[in-house]
Amino acid sequence: MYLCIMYSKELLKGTLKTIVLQLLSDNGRMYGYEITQRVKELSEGELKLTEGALYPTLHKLEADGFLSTEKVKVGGRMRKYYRLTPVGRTDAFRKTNEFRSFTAMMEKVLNIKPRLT
Amino acid sequence: MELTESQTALIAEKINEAGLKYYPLKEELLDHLCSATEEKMTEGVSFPEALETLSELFKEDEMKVMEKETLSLLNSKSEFMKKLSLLTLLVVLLTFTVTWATKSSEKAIPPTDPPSILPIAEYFSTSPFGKRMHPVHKVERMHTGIDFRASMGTPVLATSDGKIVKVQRIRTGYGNKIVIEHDSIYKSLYGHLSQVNVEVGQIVKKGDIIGEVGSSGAATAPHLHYEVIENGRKVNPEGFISLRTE
Repeated sequence: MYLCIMYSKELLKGTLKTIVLQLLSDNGRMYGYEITQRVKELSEGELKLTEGALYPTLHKLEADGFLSTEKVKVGGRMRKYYRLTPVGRTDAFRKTNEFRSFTAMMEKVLNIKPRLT
Repeated sequence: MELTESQTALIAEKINEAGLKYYPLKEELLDHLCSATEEKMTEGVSFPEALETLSELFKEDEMKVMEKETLSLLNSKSEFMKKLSLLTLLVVLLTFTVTWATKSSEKAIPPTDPPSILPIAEYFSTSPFGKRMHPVHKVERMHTGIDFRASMGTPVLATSDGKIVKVQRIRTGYGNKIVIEHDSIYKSLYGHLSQVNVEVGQIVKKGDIIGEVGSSGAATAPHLHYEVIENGRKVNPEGFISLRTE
């Protein structure tokens, strides 16, 4: 999972795909390192995506048809860019919405005021 | 800040040392490590130092774990593939069911040999298929079947296995009439009956008694008018049966 001191593994589990899909939805095409840097930046350093979590997920999303890839030569190496497929775009939208409504619901549930009796 | 070819090669060497086998991941990790190194160097760190800090992140074990994780995820069936295989299974099942249903309905009208026996066991004489003077209308007309002169009430037999597709009770033409469908090609017709023993939809066997000889409709005396219909065309029934030679 991600390297993260503030949140438990249980809480973060399942959010990685949502984050990756939403980032690609906002940025068009991105490569692996760029994604880790962007997550670090957006979370102000709180969330650090480990390579060990990111790359398996990217490959899985690609195999499932959510992402398409293209390779570009950079210096003496190849850079692999990821981009959402139409299916991936739909899923990004769905996952983000689901997560938003989930957090809103959690907010309501946890925001219980003591009953005035 | 961009790494030189030899610096890139050095990092590639480090990844190779980790013993990774999955090429797409190796290629990607090289870019990742190089990008991270370049960033460190942009911050003012020298190449060897940058490499040193990063190799902490990329321990051999961790790379191996990552590779294993990637491969196991790729080998696990995706939701899409699960749905696809479920769909395939459904299609196969459906095809099977349809085939089975078709087969069982074929059982209802089993493929038979053409109507092959005499439609009547006892008869006096016959009037053949072909052009002839019509006995009632007194004009030359095509006779589309064979007439069997017989006693009133002589049993009429199904000339092959089949399904009753038509039963008609009228006072003109063929009078009381039965049509049997034997298969997709052949049908047989029995006219001028005095009695009909079957109803539409009923399955009959070759030799079953389906009715009795009469003179209903346009007939002057009791006889059976028998037709064989091949692909919708009335053909000479003599091609299918051997008439008694007197």
